[in-house]
Amino acid sequence: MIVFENISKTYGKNVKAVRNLNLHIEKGEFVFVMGDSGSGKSTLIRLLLKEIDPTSGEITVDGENITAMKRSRIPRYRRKLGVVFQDFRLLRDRNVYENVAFAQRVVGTSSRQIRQDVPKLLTRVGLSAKYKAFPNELSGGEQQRVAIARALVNRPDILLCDEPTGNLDARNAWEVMRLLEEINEEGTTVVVVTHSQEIVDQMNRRVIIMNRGDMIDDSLESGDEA
Amino acid sequence: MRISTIFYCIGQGLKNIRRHFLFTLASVGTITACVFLFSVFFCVVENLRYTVQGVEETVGITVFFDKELTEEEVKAQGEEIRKNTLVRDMRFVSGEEAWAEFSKYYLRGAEEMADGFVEDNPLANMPSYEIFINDIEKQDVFVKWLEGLPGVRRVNSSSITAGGLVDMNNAIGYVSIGLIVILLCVSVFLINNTISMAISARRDEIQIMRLVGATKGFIRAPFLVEGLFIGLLGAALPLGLVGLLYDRAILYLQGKLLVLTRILSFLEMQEVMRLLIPVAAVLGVGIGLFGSVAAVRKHLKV
Repeated sequence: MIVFENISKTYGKNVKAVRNLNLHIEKGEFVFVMGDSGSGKSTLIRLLLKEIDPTSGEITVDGENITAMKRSRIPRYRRKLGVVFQDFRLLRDRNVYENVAFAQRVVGTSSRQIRQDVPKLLTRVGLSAKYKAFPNELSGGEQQRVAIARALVNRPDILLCDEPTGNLDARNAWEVMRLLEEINEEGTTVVVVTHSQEIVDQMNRRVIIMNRGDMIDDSLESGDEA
Repeated sequence: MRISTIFYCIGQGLKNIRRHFLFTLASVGTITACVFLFSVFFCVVENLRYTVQGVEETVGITVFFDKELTEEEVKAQGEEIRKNTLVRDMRFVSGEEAWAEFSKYYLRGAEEMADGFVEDNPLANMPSYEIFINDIEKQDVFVKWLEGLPGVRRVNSSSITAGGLVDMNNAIGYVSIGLIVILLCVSVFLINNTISMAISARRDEIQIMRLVGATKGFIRAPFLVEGLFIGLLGAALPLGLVGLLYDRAILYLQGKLLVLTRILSFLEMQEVMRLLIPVAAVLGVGIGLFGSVAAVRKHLKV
C-alpha cells in the first residue's frame, strides 16, 4: 500500500531530515513511527501528505507514484488520506458537527450525504451528545476525537496521526488509541507518529524507529512484533 | 461544481466581508471614490461630446465665390465640394436668400432700413454654400481644402467654438485618465490588503481544506467572491450617488452659468446612465477581482 524507496529529504542545503529510507507498509497495517525530535518522523507524514517532495527516491501509495504526481491531482490523492494532529486543528468558530461536516463540504459532498454521515461518525467516536458544542467546551480527548471523526468522514484508506496523544492525559490518550485500533480493525491503514514508549509497548504493533533521519529499527524485520 | 458548493463559497466570501468589516469599508470607499470620479468625468465628457455633436449639426461653414463666377459655375463648384467625404450636408444660398437672412438677424427692428435695399440687394452677386461636415475635429483641414479650390473667395467657419470644445473635451479626458489611474492603484492596493488579511485570518481553515483534499478553485473561490462583492458595492454606491446628483447638478449649472448653457447642451440622465452603469460596474468588479486575484496568487499557495 505505502512504499518508500530510497527516500531522502534535505531541508535547505544540508539539513538531512530523512536519509535513504526504504519502507513498505501493507494495506490494513497499524504502524508506529517513533523517534526523538528532529528524527524525521514528522517528515514522513508530510511526505505522505504530499506537502513536501523528497529530494530523491520514490513514494508509491496504492500503486500510484506520488513523487511524480501532477499538482492538479494532489487534492484527489489527499482524499485517500485522513490526518490527525497533536494540536487537533479544529475550527474554533464552528461546533463539533460543523467541524466534521467541513471536511465533507470542502470536497463537494452533497448536503444530504453530509447529514447522513456526520451523525453516524459522531456516534462512532462517542460524541453524538455533544454535536452542538464548540471546541473550547470540550476536553482534549474529546477534541481529538472530533479531529479523528473529521479525518474519517471522507472514508480514507489511510489514517495518518502525528502525535495524536501528545496533548492528552493518560486516560484520554488511551481512549484515543483504542479508537484508532478499532478504526484499524475496520480495515483502515493507520500510521501513528508518537513519542510515547508506554503506548507503543502496550499496543504491541509494528514499530519503526527513526534517528536523525535514518530508520534504525523496524520491528517487522527485527521480529520484535508480537 | 454542485450548487450547494457554489452557495457555500459565496457564503464564506460574505462571512469574510463581515469579519474584516473596517478593511472592507476602506476598500469599498476607495473603489467608490474611483468609480465616482470616473462617473463624474464620464458625465462631463459625454455631455461635451453631445454638445460637440450638436455643434457639428448646427454650425456650418460658409463658402463665398469670386464675384465673376455665374450662378451655374458656382453650382458646378458646389458639386465638386459635395464629393468630399467630410460633407454631411450642404445648401446653396443665393444672393437673395443671403440678404433675406441677413435682414432677419441683423436688421430686426429696423425693417424700414432693409426695405431701402429691396431693389438694390448688396449681396446680389454673392451666392454661397453653407456646408455641414460630419467631424468637427477635421474642420481646419476641410477649410484649408476649400480655400485651395479655384473660384473660392472666402471661407467662414466658427473655428473658435468648435476647436475650444474639442480641446476642452480632450483636456478633461487626459486629467480624468490620470486621476483614475492613481485611484485605481490605491483601490487595488487596499483590496489586496483586505484579501491578504482574510487569507491570514483563515490560515488554519485553509490548511485543513488542503489536507482533506479541497481543490485549488474551492479554496480560492471565497476570496474571489469577497473581492467581487467589494467591487460591486464600490460600483453601486457611486452610481446611486450620480443618479441622485445628476439632475441637480445640471439645474445648478443652468442657473449659475447662463453664458455657458447657451453653448452647452445636456444629456438626459437616462441616456448617461445607459452607458455609465455597465462601464462603472465592469470597472468596480474589475478592480475588486484584480485586487483579490493578486492577493490570492501572492499569499495563497495551495
